Amino acid sequence: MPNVFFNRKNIILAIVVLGLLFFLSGPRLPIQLSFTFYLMLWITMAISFNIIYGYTGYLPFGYVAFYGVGSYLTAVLWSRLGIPIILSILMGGGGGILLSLLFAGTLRLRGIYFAIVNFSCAMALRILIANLPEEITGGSFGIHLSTIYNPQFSYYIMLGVMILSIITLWRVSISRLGIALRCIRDDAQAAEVMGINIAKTRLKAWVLAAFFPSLAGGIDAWFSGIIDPASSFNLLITTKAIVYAMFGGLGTITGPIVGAIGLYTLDHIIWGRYPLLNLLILGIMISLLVLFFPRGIIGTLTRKYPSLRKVIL
Amino acid sequence: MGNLLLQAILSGILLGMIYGLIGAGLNIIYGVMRVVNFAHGEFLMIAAYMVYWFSVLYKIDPLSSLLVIIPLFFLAGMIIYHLIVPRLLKSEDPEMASFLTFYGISMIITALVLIVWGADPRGLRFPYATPSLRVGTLYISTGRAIHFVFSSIIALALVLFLYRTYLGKAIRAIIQNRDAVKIVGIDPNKISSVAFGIGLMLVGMTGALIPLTFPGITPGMGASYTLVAFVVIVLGGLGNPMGSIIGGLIFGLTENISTLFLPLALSPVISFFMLILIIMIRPQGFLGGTSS
Repeated sequence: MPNVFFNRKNIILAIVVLGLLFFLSGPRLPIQLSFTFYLMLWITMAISFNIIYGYTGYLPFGYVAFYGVGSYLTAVLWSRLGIPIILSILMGGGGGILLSLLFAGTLRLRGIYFAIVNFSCAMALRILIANLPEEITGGSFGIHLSTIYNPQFSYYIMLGVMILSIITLWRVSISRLGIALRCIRDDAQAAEVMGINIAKTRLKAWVLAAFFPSLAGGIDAWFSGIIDPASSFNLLITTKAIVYAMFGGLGTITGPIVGAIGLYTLDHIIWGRYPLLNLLILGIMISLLVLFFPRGIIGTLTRKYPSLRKVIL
Repeated sequence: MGNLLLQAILSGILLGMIYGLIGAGLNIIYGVMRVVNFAHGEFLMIAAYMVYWFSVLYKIDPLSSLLVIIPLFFLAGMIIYHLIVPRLLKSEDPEMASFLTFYGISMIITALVLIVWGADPRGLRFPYATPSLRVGTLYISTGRAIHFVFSSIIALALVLFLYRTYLGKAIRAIIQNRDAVKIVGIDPNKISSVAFGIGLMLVGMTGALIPLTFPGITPGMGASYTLVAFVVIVLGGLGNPMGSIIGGLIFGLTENISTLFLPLALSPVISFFMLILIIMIRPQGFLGGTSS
């Protein structure tokens, strides 16, 4: 007879409820609000990065472009056109989708070519935005959004986006799309023979992976109250998304969450005390992960104990 | 205008030679073992810092410090090869794995230089009596001229090495077909470690000479050279070391001539646009090469 209390469904439910309770009570917890906010932001970034890199093997090294475009569109629409902030954030997400469609042609490249071209696109975009007239993007000084500063409201919007991104990854992972993506990643030719439309399937993952960081960028602009080209298009944003997703386990649902929680907490403590060490530690981490721990926590666990696959996805 | 254009062409050729050598080092490493050395610019930065310290502490000029830097970088390349590459080649996607690993290494190098020597730019004291030379109606700085002469010598030596020596021919053979070379009795591992050493030696030499042309040395300077190296090898064909030299010249000329027409702030965009355009239109490079 199966155990009534400690079965798979109840354990997952308990973890989900506990997690939700933690984030819902965020503003009341004796923890800095910015810590919980950025924890959610990084979970969202790692989750959506996983949709593209974990499920298709495509490494968008200029991933930060989506975050940057989202934050810039939001700030420009709100400050120059007076569009309400929530609507601006949504339009920033829409801008991210448009950008992903604009970059869609690069998906026919492979491996290192795709990574380098994507990186170049992001950097070119950064320079172009920094050189637009100051009346639009505020030049290299950026845009202030401090008059609508509302940490609690933006916190809960971020929570909503994070939950949406997790549900999306979960639905994708168990759907036909998820299976098709994994097939393409493992053997593109065989997948094509089975009747999978490779270009269309990849594009779906690409658009989904672009949508969430753009939203996150917009919300971050609202939460922090200021944006500028250097920080909105900082390559370290891509780096962190890669490191967090990889540490937890690429190609899994729980991996990016576990990775982001574990490493962002660590990052927060170190960054606060020794800012200079952050770059060094990120660099050491990414090299060591790739060389010695490419499957991450969840990937290694499920490989060692296959029965765990029933409990963690 | 005519004079400005001539001046731009002259600078383009001088810089193009340097860019070409930076690309050639990256390209040999990529061609022989499909390792994407994203820390290429950071190795160059280390060499530039070494030259700076040699000059400040021991009053040694950049050209003499090559005597130390060449063997040192060659050795460092062999050591890095043995520490990292065999493990990389075992991973599921070696190309991406190498790219991420070396990206991590580039961050480590930058961070260490920042911690040890600080973020302030360092300037090499100009080591020559006359600041510039006159060629007809044009002027070039003495540093650049010397730099160009040495770059040309290095490029010539590289051609002779790759086409006239056994080791160089073996390297080219591995680039063409890694499996077939085993049949003729070449050990790919041994050659690969030498190739990594030569790749780093090339970047070490260019890095040591860079202060002659661009005197400012900063911890963050590496990234832009890595980018230049990528543009150059994509232009000349991935896995085609000699194509890099020509790719470098093309890039140097384009970059310098375009500055006549574009605002200065936009000049970095040129390299990005060239990179995107070439890869999208002709990923095997304009001069062919072994593209996978």
